[in-house]
Amino acid sequence: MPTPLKKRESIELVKVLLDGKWHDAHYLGLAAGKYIAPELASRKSKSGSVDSGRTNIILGKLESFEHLGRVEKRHNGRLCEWKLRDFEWAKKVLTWAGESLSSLPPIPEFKTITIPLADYNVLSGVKQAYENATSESIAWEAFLIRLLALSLVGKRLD
Amino acid sequence: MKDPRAEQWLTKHGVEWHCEKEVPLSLVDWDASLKNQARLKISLIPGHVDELAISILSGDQLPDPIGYYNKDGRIIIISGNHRVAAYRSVNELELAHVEKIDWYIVSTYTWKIDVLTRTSNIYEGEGTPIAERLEQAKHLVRLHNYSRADAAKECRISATAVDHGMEGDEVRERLARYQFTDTIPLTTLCKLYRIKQDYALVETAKLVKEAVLSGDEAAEVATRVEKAAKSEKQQQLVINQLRKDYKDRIARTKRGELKRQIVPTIRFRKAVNAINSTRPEAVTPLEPELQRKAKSAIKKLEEVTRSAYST
Repeated sequence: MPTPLKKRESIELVKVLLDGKWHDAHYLGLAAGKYIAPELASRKSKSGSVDSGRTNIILGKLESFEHLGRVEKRHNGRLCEWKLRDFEWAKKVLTWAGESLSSLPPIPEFKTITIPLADYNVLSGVKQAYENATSESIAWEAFLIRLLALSLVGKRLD
Repeated sequence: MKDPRAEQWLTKHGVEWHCEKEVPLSLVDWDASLKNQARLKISLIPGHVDELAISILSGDQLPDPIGYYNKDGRIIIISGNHRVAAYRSVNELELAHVEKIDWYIVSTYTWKIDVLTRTSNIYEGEGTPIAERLEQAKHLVRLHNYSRADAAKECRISATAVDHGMEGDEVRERLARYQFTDTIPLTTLCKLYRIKQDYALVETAKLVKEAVLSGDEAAEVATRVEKAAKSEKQQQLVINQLRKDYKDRIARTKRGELKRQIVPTIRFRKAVNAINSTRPEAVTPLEPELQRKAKSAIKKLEEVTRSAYST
């Protein structure tokens, strides 16, 4: 069982990530890092700067969360962005911390669609053929949206 | 030696305290005390420890340090890290044998100990820079729910400085959310605080950066943008107009002709710091370095003198 997060900056970090969006590391360093004691932050930075020390500490936390599969990372040009992956864990963290979940932004829901296996096999075959034709993989959500859009305008998926 | 100022300071904070005589130095949890130190960058200033060690050897009595007992029955220092370090230093060098000292022992809540530790350097000790006091004040507001005015009083800075510091931080955070990461001085950023609309804030910040606006100019621009806040379209028109007004300045900045001016006081302080750093005791082992710093100091001083004559 994961241990509760006790530090204020960790709780604030989870709160910011709870919107399910990608956030760049600099923003997270400011938004959650401001709760880190300035002397601890300044000693974590080579230059002694409080801001960069805070960003370093928050990045360290994000790396450890990523290692545990709680968040995911992507590089977007010169930016490094982070997004929450494990919403159940985030809810638990905030419950442990005594946060009122009603006051927080709504947690995005990822719905599961149930379809007959035969239909799934057909769709899966079409997706596979599409990926082979375009030589790139496509996420299920994007594929279904594209399919829907094409069917609405009366076109074929070539 | 008793310290009436420390007693007054503790009483003012409403904490329970008492004096303990002849407490062995070995009872101090030194590692935890250094960690508990609220000074930025480094826990101890070696030069200050040396000065205090010389005072001890000269027979001077230092004020009793302040500490508290942790759950293991060891003392953690709240105020007096340098004094205790000086005692340890004279003992280690076998110049004297100070095994026991008197203490002020505090018994209070953890959060109060944190506040005392943060503010002890301000009421005494080496002069704490304003930037450091501001950081501690912001921490009291964020973590201990102090009002800005109370935090300012505790850290001995003006309430306006705390207001501006908090507002500047908030603006920077809002801008970072929209991936605006260009550096704008905090004194200028806080002037943009009045702009509540994120889109308008980002656009105004871009203008401030591109035209290298001063704090006063940024405040004027922010007032105009905020006045048009009733409609997003109107606000956009105002920002476009401002861009036109500052077109020349933006172009000059792009060409590298316009740079943010450093006010003479800052330049002067930099020159004085550079001169101070050339003191032989500060850089004795580094002869070429000393020469380089001296040259740089003279150059800076000449620049300041020149600009003083020209204005």
